[in-house]
This record gives sequence, C-alpha cells and structure tokens, in this order.
Amino acid sequence: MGAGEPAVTTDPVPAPEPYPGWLGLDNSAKIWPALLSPRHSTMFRLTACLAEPVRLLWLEKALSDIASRFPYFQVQLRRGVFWCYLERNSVASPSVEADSVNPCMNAELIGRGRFPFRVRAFNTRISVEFSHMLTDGTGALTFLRALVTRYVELSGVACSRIEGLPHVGEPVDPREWEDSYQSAIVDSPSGLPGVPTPESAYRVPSPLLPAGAYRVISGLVPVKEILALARDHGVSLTEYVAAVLLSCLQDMQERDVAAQGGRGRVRPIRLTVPVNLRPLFGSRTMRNFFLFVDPGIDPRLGRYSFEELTEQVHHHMRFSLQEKHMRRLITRNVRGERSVLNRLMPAFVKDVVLQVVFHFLGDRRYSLGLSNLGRVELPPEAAPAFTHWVLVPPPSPVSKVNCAILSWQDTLCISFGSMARETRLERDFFRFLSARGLPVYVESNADWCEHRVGGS
Amino acid sequence: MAYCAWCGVQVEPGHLNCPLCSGDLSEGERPTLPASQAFAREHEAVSSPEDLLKRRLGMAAAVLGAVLVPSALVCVLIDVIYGGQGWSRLVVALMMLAWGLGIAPRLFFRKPLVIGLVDVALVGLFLVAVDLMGPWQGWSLRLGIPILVAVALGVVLVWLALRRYRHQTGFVLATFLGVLVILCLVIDAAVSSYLTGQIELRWSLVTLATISPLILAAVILQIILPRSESLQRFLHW
Repeated sequence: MGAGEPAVTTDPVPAPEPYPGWLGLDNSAKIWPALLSPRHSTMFRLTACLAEPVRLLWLEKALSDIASRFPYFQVQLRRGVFWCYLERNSVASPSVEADSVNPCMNAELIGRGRFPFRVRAFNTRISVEFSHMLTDGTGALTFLRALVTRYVELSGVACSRIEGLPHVGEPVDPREWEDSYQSAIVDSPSGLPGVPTPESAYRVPSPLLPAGAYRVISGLVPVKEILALARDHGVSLTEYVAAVLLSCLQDMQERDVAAQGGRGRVRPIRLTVPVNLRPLFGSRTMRNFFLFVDPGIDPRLGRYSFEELTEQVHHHMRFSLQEKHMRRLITRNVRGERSVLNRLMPAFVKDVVLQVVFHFLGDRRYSLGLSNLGRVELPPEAAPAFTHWVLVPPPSPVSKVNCAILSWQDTLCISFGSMARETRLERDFFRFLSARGLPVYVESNADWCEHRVGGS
Repeated sequence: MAYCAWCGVQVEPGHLNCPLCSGDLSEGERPTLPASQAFAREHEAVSSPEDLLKRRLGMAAAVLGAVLVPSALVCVLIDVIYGGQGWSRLVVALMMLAWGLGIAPRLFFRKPLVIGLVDVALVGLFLVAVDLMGPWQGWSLRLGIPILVAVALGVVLVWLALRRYRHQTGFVLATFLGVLVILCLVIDAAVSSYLTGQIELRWSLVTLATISPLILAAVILQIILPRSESLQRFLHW
C-alpha cells in the first residue's frame, strides 16, 4: 500500500441502535469497582502481533469504524448511590494510546469521558486492555478480532465474513448487551444446596513489585507438540497446562517447607480457571458471562505424581462443567446481588463490605488463575498479517501470579502476569516444557518493568 | 513513510513527531525497532507503595488545612462581631493542634517515634496556650506537662521494648504494664502536688500492688517457658 489514505474508504453505514442510555453492571462486574487500586487494575490485555509495524492511520480509522458496531463498549463508568453503572459516552471511541512498559496498569477507569478499555499500539503490536467491569476475555477477543480485521481491510485486503465475527455496518443484536447471569438462575422454591467455601490456598511466597509495575513473561510454543503431550495423558490442553502448574507449585511448596526446616505450613494448591458460559447457556452476550472452576490438590495427603495431577484436573474439570452445577453457582451469586439489604446499602458502604468479602473469600483461596481463551479465528485472507496473539491476565496482588493461554494457528502463547519479585514459577514452568522437548521462545518486559522516574 | 524511533509505529509523512508517543521520526523504508521487541521501553513513572502513602498523607494534610483555616477565620470573625469574648482563641488553638497532628505523619514519614514525640509536644503547647488564655493558674506546667512527659517516656519505652523483644511477648507485656504503673504513679503524684502542694501517693500504690505480680509473672514465664517442655505442653494453644 502506498502512503496516504486507507485503501478501503467506504464509510460504514451506522446501524440503528436500540442501545439504552445506561446499563447496570453485570453480576460478576459488580465487585470490581470496590477493589480498584493502583495494584488491582481489573484490566487484562489481548495483543495481536503483526508481521509489519502498525500503521497508525489505519488503526485509528479501523477503531472509529467499528465503534458503532459495539455500542455497549461506547460507555463510561459512573458511580451511582447504590451501584456503579455504565453510561453512554459522548465520545464515540477512545483514541489509540502509546503502549507502556507495564501493561494493564495506570488506568483511570471511572469518570466522565473515560473508557473502561483502551486500544494501544507499539511496534508490530495492536493491543486492547479491557477492564473486567466491562467484559470478559471472549468479549474483548471479539472486539479485537473485529478491529484487526477492519485494519487489514483498510490495508487493501478484502476479507470474507466468518461466523461469530461482528462486521461493520451490520445491525447490533440486543442480546449482545444482556446480563446473561440473570436469565441463568434456578428459581427453586425449596432452596438450593449451599456451595462449600474452600480454605486458603498456597500462594507464591514473594514480596510484591512496586505499585504500578507488572511483569509479563510470555512463552511461545508449537500447538501441535504441546497438544500431543496433552493427548499422551488423555487430557485437553487446558487440563495439561493446569497439571503442569500444579506440579510446579507442588514442588515450590515442598522446597519452601524444606527451607523452613519442615516447620512451614502445608496448604492446598488450587487453581481458578474461568469457564466461558456462552456455549453452555446459548448466550450471545458481549458482557461478562463466565464462572470459575477450581481444580486443585491437597499436598497434606502426600505428594502427587504427574499422572495423578492430570487425572485429578481432568475429572474435576469434567465434573464441574455441568450446566446444573453452574446454575447453582450463578444462582448463589445473583441472589447475593438481589438481596434487599445489599441493594439498599449505599455504594460506599458496599465498597467496604465487598473488600472484606473479597479479602476472605476471594483470591486468597486460589494459588493462581489460569485462563484459556482458545483458538483465535480470523478470515483466512487476514491471517497472513499476523504472527501470534498474546493474552495477558489481569494483575492480582493477592495470588500475585496469573497465567493465560491463547493460540493462533500453530503458535500457543502462554503468558504469566506477575506482581511477585520472584520468577521461580515461570522459570520452573517453562523448564518443565523444555525438558519434554518443546521449543519455547520467551519474550518479557522483566528487565524494564521496575524502572522508575518519579518517587523516592 | 516514517517510523517512530520510540514506539516503532508507521506514521504518515508530514508529522514532525510521532502523533502517538511524541517520539522522533525517522524517514525511510525500514522499521526502526526489531519485530521481536514486544514491550515499550520508556521509563514510565512507577509509584512505590511508600510514594503513594506519602502522597495520600500529603493530600490529607492539605485537605485538613483547607478545611481548618477558613473555619478558624469564620470563628474569629463571629467572635469579633458578637462582642469579642475570646472563645475563638480556643477554637484557633484547637484547630492548630489538629493541623499539627495531621501533618506530622507526612513530615516525619515512617518515623513513628518522632511523630509520637512531636504529637506530645504539640499537646503540651496546646495546654500551655489554653492555660495562658484565662487567668494564669499554672496547671499546664505543674499538672499537664509532667503527665505528658511521662506519657512520652512511656511511649519511648514501649517502642524500644517492641524493637528489642519483638518475639518475646512476655518482656513486651512486662514493659507495657511497667509503663502503665509508672504513668499511674506520675499522675497521682502530679495531681496531689497540684492540689495539696505535697506529693502523696494513694490509688497509684494500689495499682502498683495489683500489677507488679503480673509483671513478675510475665518475666518469669518468658524466661522459664522456652526451657520447660512440660510447661510448654501445659500452656500450648
């Protein structure tokens, strides 16, 4: 393409939108405003890595083109008396921002004219960073896929339509902004069985990085080879990665306890794995619609071999991914939100209550989060423009380390987002894969994330 | 075509600086950054938790000042308008005390001992100022200051005990109880000296008699407990 205007200059026809002026936060987003802090940004990141440097003009044009197709992202987050809510933003879309050393950090999310997401560009990478107050990984991935498809179209490549990829100009389905949690609850007059609360889990024992710093270590591995390893054990890719993480955490805890002369307390090791509920409940929402399953082990019962770990994870995941079990969890969460007492509580009181609830029932119960967004699908004509895609998990100052995986063609990207000073877990994890013959290419901001200008 | 030397994106010709990051642009067909560079490398300001706490304390002190100064001025104005009875002096002194207590944590960040001593000194000054407002009775010097000095010394002792015997709860408890007893003695002595002109210890001696065995028990337990397995077994929790 030559310099100047983008190749495809036909302006998209804005679709009529029945989108309301404001919306309440969905069930899983309601807790996040209370937890916002310099370390708990609630943001996660998706990056599309191109073969060529990003052309800024096309990206800006692509962003403004697709804005009308995603009216539910054209919002600003405001504080109400009882809850935070999403209000239609007078600005159509955020501007493209320069990238920074520390992804997912230093974002002002609440207030007039601000967006709960941002689009960033650096070198050959187009990134979106979404707050979980707005959507989950699936919603963000759909947005980024639409954005980069439009970007490729603007470069002069005609892209065919594929299922599940929103296109500029097509009407917006009102089901895309529904709170699907509300329609998935069980209304049982005789009550529901309670959900047991797990005890605190082992977490990576390390001091935190300074507030504002977030270290990302991503490893690129061939999908076919790691999938072959997973199939050798009769498990899926997510289950295999979960088992490797449990194995590394088990070893780490053993070493820590041994270093304390055997007096350290042995705790359960538990992962939290978000599950996309859309296929399970036939939802088309672009807002949050996920729940967690929590495969784990209890090393107090003895050391688990890797075979036992894969079996444990496999059966736990299969058992937890039942519609009825999910409905039970959703009902518990939604009932909490609908309780008259909770609804009448002013927002500033709710903030305190939710912080306390999160402190005791939140990330302390999990050693690490593992998200798998699956395989990225794009129109075949757009595919040659990309080398790989990256998913960076949201930062958590409690569990400190989270892991996220995403695959593009034959490249699987396994990313660790960490607020811990130590990198033992990441190192052990990639060594585990290398020891089984997998070539791992690692990229990271580790050398730069702690550099400082201001402050003492 | 121009490439930004800083963020690596392609920029249309005609720009002096990168519209994305304001970095320098280099004309040419070749990208300025290797494709493998995955993250930006500018030094963005990262605030440490200490910086954040300092900033918050500074803001709190500023807000306190912004609230107190106008309030004090309004009080003085009302006092002057309605007869000048002088009550606003007490309000102003109180507000100055509150402001001083508010900014001390920012001025002496992470120095709890200094903050404690400064707070005691401020309260002492406040007491003298209040004593000076009415007909001079000297209660601030004869009663207030000795008690404050005792409190300050007590704080220093407890702080030193916490530093020295952090993991020896018995010694810390003994120090705390000892400081409490000394404080009671000083208050009793100061009050009786102020009222009768003589130092006569009364109720503080009862406190001394009650607490002394506890201090002794704490010290003995701290010394004996680590050496006695049977006692450890008996007292385990």
